[in-house]
Amino acid sequence: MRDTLVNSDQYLLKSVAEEIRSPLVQISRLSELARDGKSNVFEQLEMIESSADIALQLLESYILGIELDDKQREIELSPITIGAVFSDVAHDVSRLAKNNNFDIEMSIKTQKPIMGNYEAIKLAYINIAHEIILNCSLEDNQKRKNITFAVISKSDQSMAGIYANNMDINKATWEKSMQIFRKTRQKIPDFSSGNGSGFFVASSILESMSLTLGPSKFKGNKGLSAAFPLSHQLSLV
Amino acid sequence: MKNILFLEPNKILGDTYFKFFSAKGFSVRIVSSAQDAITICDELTPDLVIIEIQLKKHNGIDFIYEFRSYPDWQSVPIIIQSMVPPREFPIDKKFWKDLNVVNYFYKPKMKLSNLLSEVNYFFSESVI
Repeated sequence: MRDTLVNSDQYLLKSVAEEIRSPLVQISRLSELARDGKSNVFEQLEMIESSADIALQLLESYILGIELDDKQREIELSPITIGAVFSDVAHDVSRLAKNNNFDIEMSIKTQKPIMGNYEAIKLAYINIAHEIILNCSLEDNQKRKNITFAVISKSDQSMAGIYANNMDINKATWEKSMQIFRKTRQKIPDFSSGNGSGFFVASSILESMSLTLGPSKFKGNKGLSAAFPLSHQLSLV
Repeated sequence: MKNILFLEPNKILGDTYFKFFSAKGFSVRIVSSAQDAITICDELTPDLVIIEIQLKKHNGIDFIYEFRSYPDWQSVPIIIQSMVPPREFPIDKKFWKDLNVVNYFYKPKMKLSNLLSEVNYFFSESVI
């Protein structure tokens, strides 16, 4: 099967298809547990909803990435601030974060506008946040963790990243994951027991806007970020 | 009461196995890493270990070899229940038998009731 896949779109599709099995298996088993009648059905339903939402976000993001890459969909750019996108993403992942013992922190030092597509950037970062929360939570289920949404402005760009206090991705592991993307089931074995599709889907969406996702550090925590060029004309508006 | 140790990296699935099998009268421990599994086994030797082989940092086969290297745990039976389809492993029954792996199941096709049947069958057949 693997040898017949010829381009990265197909590898990404296979990767997403493999990854989507996890939330589907969760939904199936949680439903069976709820039917068994010996546990809190409301709790099971909440987790079923959360699993379904994660699967849907991953699928939506994959489709968006493909459409943007194939130029099937025009990227409508408008003046936005990454801080606003991050507030939205943080809100959307707040329940998942809470259920996995994560505190959300925001560190947005600038509200300088950029030209971008709000929904596409939001979807990309939601996938990154999901991957971080779902994988870091396995390290120590009791320990409090934090996930930080940080925007740092430099003279010509804003660095927007998501970081966690027990995330373990550095430049070497990220580059290696890109190299072995086509060859292995687990692309980032030091970080995830899954295949990290959320990161690759996010990377594909950002890439379609000529943005590069990569590892970086914020206040000692590791994470992934992208640099958004600042529009000086917008700053004057 | 039989002790089952699950090595399951997926938190939601781990919680689900815990609730389901506890309600069926088993003593259940869930761990998400190979290292935690080794540590837990030091406290309480399980009657059965059910593992996912696709793990973070370690792979499950390495874990089985390490687990088997301790004399006290050489006879503890292991069931593999994995997201990795069996077709991706060269199925060599002797290999699994040598490692005392009693069965290999593909997780997406293994409902809780199927797994319970397998566990009950295993304990009814075993002389533990």
